[in-house]
Amino acid sequence: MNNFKKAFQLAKLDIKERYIRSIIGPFWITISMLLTIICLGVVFNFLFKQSLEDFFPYLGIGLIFWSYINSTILEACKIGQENRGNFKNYNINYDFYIAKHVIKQTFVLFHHLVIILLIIFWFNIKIEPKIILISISLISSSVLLFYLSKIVFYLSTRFNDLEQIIMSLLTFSFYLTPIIWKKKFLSEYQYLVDYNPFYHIIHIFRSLLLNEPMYLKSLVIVIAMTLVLILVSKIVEMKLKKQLIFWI
Amino acid sequence: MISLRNVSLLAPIINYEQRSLKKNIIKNFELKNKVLLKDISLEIMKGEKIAIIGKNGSGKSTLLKLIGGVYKPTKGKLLMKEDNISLISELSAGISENLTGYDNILLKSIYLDLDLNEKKKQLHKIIKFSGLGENIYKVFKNYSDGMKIRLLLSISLFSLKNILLIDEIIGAGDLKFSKKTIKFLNSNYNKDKTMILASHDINLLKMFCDKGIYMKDGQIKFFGELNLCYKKYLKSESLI
Repeated sequence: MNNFKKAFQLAKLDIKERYIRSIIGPFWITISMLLTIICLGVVFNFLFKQSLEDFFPYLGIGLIFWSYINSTILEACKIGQENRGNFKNYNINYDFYIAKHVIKQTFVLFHHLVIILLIIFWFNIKIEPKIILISISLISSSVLLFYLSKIVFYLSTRFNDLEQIIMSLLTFSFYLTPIIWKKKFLSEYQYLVDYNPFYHIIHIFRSLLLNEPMYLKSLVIVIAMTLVLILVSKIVEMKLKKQLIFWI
Repeated sequence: MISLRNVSLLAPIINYEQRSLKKNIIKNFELKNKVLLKDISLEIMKGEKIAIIGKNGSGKSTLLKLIGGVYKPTKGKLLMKEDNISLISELSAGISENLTGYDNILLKSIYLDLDLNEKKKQLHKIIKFSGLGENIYKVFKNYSDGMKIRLLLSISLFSLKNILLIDEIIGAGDLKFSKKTIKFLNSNYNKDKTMILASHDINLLKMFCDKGIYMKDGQIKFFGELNLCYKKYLKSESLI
């Protein structure tokens, strides 16, 4: 059985275990996400005096993909703890556990597809052929998150307090990224957002799903970030892999 | 063939401060190591059945896990002519208490690298061998200890490969199941397959092995004929 198939099977069983006592399973997260989008949508609609048709889909797609990025990075800190027994008893490449983790988070994202469809139909958003690119965008962002998770896993296994630091950084990034606010609110300082890597990941999905203009720059930045993360993860792996088992 | 040449395994001595990124930035810690295995040289030929004996903490499990690939040597070389290895140590590794016994077969077999297609055929064999019958569809955490061991051992036994490394677990389960396990291993582990077994039970070791390794403080003190090895162990540990 190849490693991807194995990781896929394990991710399925992980989800099954987590929601074993629930009839609707991971859709609980979807319901919670929908309620968050509705509440924030209504509040920020009043605060920023935006039209609901314009702001609600923007906020919805932004929050869904932010939660994917956020939970993938944050839960990567727990890969070592959650799989401790397996690490200590099976000779399986660590990449396999990271792949399982990213696949599991992607499964949860797929459950949010219901909200995306609701938004598209409720606000009568025209679906254009470029939506096909969403699969490629999803694969490329999953690859990026795989390497980011790998770095987070190695470092947080070695340093216990890194999880708290990452949690704070992610909260900080949430407010600095145009998720609940729009880039144009920054008027002459809009260029600052271009330095935020999370903006570019989310922007690609927004442009495909909400028919916003797609910037080649965002695509190039995501690919460049992935390449940098591959390089950094290899360095971290070389430095920490041999003795990592003793830190788990 | 398994060949270890001057293999040592060192593990860092870890305390709370060394785990903190903040404290590592402020203060440059020098990591100290403890020796888990020291200068191990060993050659195990295909088809050999080897027992590892020694008191708790002597390095038996560590040596098995090193051969099994869980640990990588810090110094020296570990050469394997075959990578088709089963390491059976902690039975509950890879198990989820909240899933059913059936789901746990699927789960553990992934870690044990049982092929999906092959697994479907093996699934019924595992259930039959465990003797759990319809209980296989019940939640694992509701099983008795005996039922848990029977299921976990059955999954492990049906995923065995050409080189088998077993740590202490053969005698697990009730007497009837232990006999069944021993019978299974005897009929499935013929001349071509290599077996390395760590246990405190000399009678069990004698059933499978003809050679023994006596370990003490992470070092091999003796490697040779099992009865002689056991005598060395008893004498050295002042057990006779």
